This record gives sequence, structure tokens and C-alpha cells, in this order.
Amino acid sequence: MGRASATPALPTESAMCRPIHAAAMFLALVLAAAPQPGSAALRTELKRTPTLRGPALKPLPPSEAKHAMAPFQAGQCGVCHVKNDPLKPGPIKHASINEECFSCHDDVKELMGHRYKHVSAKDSCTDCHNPHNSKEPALLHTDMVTLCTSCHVGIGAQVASSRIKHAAIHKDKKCSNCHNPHAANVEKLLIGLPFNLCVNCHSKDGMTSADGKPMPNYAKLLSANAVWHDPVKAKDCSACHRTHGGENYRLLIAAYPESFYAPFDKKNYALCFGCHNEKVVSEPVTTTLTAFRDGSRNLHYVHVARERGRTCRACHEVHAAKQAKRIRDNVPYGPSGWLLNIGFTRTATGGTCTKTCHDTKSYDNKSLLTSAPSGAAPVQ
Amino acid sequence: MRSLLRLALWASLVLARPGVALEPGDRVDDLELPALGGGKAHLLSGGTVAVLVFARVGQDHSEVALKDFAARAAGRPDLRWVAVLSGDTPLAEARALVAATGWRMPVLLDAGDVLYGRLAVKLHPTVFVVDREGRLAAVEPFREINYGDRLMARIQFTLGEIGRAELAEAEDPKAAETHSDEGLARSRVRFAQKLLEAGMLEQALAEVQKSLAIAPTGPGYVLQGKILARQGKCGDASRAFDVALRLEPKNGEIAVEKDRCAAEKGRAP
Repeated sequence: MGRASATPALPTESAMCRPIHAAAMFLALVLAAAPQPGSAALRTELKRTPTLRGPALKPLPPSEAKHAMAPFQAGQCGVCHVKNDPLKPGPIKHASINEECFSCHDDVKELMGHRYKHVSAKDSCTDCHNPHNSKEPALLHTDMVTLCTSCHVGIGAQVASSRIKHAAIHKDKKCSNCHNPHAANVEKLLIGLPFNLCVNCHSKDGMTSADGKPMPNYAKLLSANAVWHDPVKAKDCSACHRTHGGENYRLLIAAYPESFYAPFDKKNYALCFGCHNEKVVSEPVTTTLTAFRDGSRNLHYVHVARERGRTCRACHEVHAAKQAKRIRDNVPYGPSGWLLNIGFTRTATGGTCTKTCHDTKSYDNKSLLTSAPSGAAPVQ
Repeated sequence: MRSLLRLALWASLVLARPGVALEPGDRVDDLELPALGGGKAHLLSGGTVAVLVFARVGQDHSEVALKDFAARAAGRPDLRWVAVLSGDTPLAEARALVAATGWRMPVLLDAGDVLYGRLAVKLHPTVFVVDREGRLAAVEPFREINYGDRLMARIQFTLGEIGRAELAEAEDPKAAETHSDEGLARSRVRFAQKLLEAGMLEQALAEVQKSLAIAPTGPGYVLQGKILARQGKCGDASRAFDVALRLEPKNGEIAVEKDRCAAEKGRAP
């Protein structure tokens, strides 16, 4: 088939062997790059495959193809090639493959004006698309996930071997549910900011996670609760969730205890301490790190830094709540999920928790006169 | 004596209290802090917009952000870029962070986390942008996506280099949809145009009809009119041009094509 005259053709054997080599290489890389427990790297290995040219772009037999480019289907080789002869169409009319494609697909040319551009799309449309026909929609060379992960091998490894999967990767528009493979105004070629993409799907009642647990309708949850976690406000779900797959429940990027109680170890809170200062919990005495202290006695330390520590969720909602600092009204407790009231009230000098896990207790962060002896020993 | 001691302790608490977050427009104290390279240095530099990056060692987000900002800072030497680490950071780890990120600007050490407390820094990294008059202009906590873009837009806004609309665009960029019916319809129109140029009128008409079935566009109806005109179907062409005119009232080409068709019909034997 024709090609830009200045472009050398790959040997036919190369095109024939490529899928086998790619599959073997992909499998090897999946095994080598399998994610480590407790982490889900955002910056993953990338391996560019050679630009496809010449015989690698020949049409599939009509019996195999399900989709075709309109001029090819109409037998109008001359729309793109110098000759209208299907057997000897000659080179393409324009100096480069992309110029040829953009002579009709000017919408994609416009897209390429966005801030972040996919290298493959800049180099050659035919890296991903067969210009004649294909088994796949959008005339992709192979299934989209296979095609994308043939270069994005690190992502491929996450998708293939993660304990927790994200269903969005394999349904509807697959990778392009979230990414624009040509160009975008957001990093990682995201169509929009993560929040706009995530909430677009996670705004239905009755959704469940891969392990069958119910998931909130986030549109409802966020509209009913005005105090949003900073990453939510910044539309930055990726700050906490790794959407290609991960080892932590809820696709969290790092460890966070799933339960109400957990022994304190900063490694178990890698998610929170990825942004929050771990000293907020680990320092028994402070006058600077937190306002949740009685005098200088750090009450985060008292609650969390112990063998039967309360996890962050015991008092804080993760995404959104009605109170400042996203203090919960109540928290699911025990195997039946009974709702335990937190009963927190902010005061001018601190706050009070009433009829909750413990009897009513108040704290005062404006004075050194504490309600309990200062020091490191947590109250059991 | 005891009351004096109590007063001193109370004062130290109030002065170092956290949670009193500065609001944009509040003055940022120009503290002098120990510098990683030795000696002391001021946080701010009079008359220059300052970018204060609160980071910590052993944390991916801080490392990624410092690396990104170090590269961006090279293009903005007109700003005062300062990284602030906790005063209890082991110096070897602080130096390793600087080496790993290529950060060439001052690194100040916040002894006793006093500055951290005064500015109510909650997260790492967090960036404080301080304007030329020493007032807080913006606080940018960590973002996984578009952090650098947002920060630079915020700095440019502080400097008056961009307006509110451009800042809003940087904070929530316009979506880049992968597919639009209009785009697909336009490419079909382009193909039909090529068929028309090759004199393949029937195929061109069929193609433009497929395009109009996907999305009724002005260029689609214009081309349909042109093809029908070439086929001598001036009445049908005129109707297509009328629809095109409704979609693109400012397109002067449509009236010209319509008149030409009518004129040619008038000349026809």
C-alpha cells in the first residue's frame, strides 16, 4: 500500500512478527513491572513502539474487517493516494501521513492544538490507526487496552496484575473513557480534571465496588455536604485514587486501614501522610501542629497513636461533610454498621464530644490548663 | 512568680498557635530562618513575588513537586523561590532531596515548625504565593494533576500577567472530548468535497447525506446544494442552500451559490 514517498518501508516480516513480539514483550514486562503491595505508581514505564509504515498498514481482508475508512470502502484510493488503482495506488498525496489524514479530519487537527499532545499522535496517526480498515472501532490496530499498553507497559502491568480492578478500563470507550489519545488540556491527556470524569460515572445509586461493597452516589453526597476535602475541591481524585488498578482497597494509591480500629504504624497511613504531616499524629505534645489538642497535649496522638488506635475515619469523613475539618455526624461501627454518633461541637477555645465513644469530653487549645495530665501516655 | 510563668507559657502558646490560617491579603512575616547552605536568610525579598514551597523529605509528592517547580523556576528568575523544610529534618536527607530534584534556590529550615504553625500549613507540599508588598496572594496545596500549571497561572495572576478568565481556565481546563458528531460529519463533508472535485457526483451526494445524518452542519448543506446544482437540480439545491443559510446566516458564499444555480437554470435551453 502507498506511503509517504520519503518514508522507508519496514520489511513485511517485521509487520507479521510484530504482534507476536509485542505480546511476548508485554507479558514479560507485565511480570517484571508488577506493582508492589501498598503502592500504585502514577509514573510508570513507557516503551515506545516503532512508527508503523508501509506494509504494516495494509488493509485486512474484507471478511475480517468490521470497520473501514470511507474512501477505502468506496474504493476511492485516489482520495489519499496519487493513483486510484487499488493494486498500485502509489504514495500518498501529502508530504506526511498526518497531513494526509488532517486533510479530511480537521477536527483532530484542531484537537492537536491542545496543551498536552500524545507523542504518537504527533508523530503519525498510523501508529494507532489502520488507514484502511480494522476489526476495531476508530480503525485501531488492536483492542484499545492492548494497543495503549503496548507502549504504556507500566500501566499495562497495573491493569493486568492489580488486586483491585477498575471496571471503567474495559467497558464502553475503555481508555478513552478518561483520556483523549490525541491531545488534551489536562496532564496525562485526561479529557478533563479527574473529578469531572470520576463523578460523571460515580453519580448513580446502587453502584458497587469490585468486592461487592456499596459505593456512594458522589453527586448526591457532595451536594449534601458543603465541606469538601481539599483534593475533592481541586477536582483531583487522582491525589488519592489510582484508577488503572491497585493493591489497596478503593483503588487508593497507598495504604490506609480499612477498619475502625488499627494499631498505629505510619506505614498503615501512607495515604494520609502522603500530604498530611505525620507529626500531627506522632508527636504527643505540640503547640503548633494541630488545633485538636488540650493545651499542648496532642489529641490526635491520644486517639490514633496506640495499639487499638482509632483510624482517621472514626472522626473524619473523607470526601465531604457538613462540619469544618469534615468531622462526621456519625460513623458506622461494628459488623452491622450501626451508626455511632460523634456529637462534636466546636467551641471558641476548642471543642466538645458528647455521648460518643466516651463520656462527654472537652478540650481547650488556647490555654495550658488541660483537662487531663499532659504527657505522652494516651488515655485507654 | 507563678503567675508570670503562666503568662509566659500562655503567650508562647498564642504566638505559636496553629489553625489561624492567613487569608489572601494578610501580611506574611518576613522571618529570618537558618538556610540549608549555612547562615540565615530572609523568607521574602522586598519588591519581588515570593513562591514559598513547604515540603518534606521522604515524601513522593514533595519530591515530584520540587522537581517540577525547579524546572519552572529556571524560566522565572524574576521570582523569589524558597523551599521550606521542617527544622528537625536531617541535613543529609534535606541535601539528598535538593540533589534529587535539581532545586537550586534557597532552602530554609523552619526551627520548631514555627512558620508552619503561623501559616497553618496542613499539607505537604503546599505553596504560598506572596505578592510584592509581602501580602499572601494564594495558597496552593498539592495536586496530583496540573499542579505546576495551576501554580504558574496563580503566579501570573498575582503579577497581573493574566486575567481572571485565564486563571479560571487553568484551574478547570476546557474538556477535550475524544469524539464529536460534528467532527465526524465534517470529515465526511471533506471526503464528499473531494468526490465532487473528482466529478463523482452520485458518490459525493451519498457521502454528504451520510454526513447530514450524523450531524446537520452548515458546510454539509452547502455542499449538498453545490452537488445538486451540478446535477442541475436547482430547486433541490435551493432548498439545501436555504437550510445552510439558516445555520450559517453570515456565510456569503451561500447566496452566491444559490444565485449562480438560478442563473444557470435561467440560461438552460
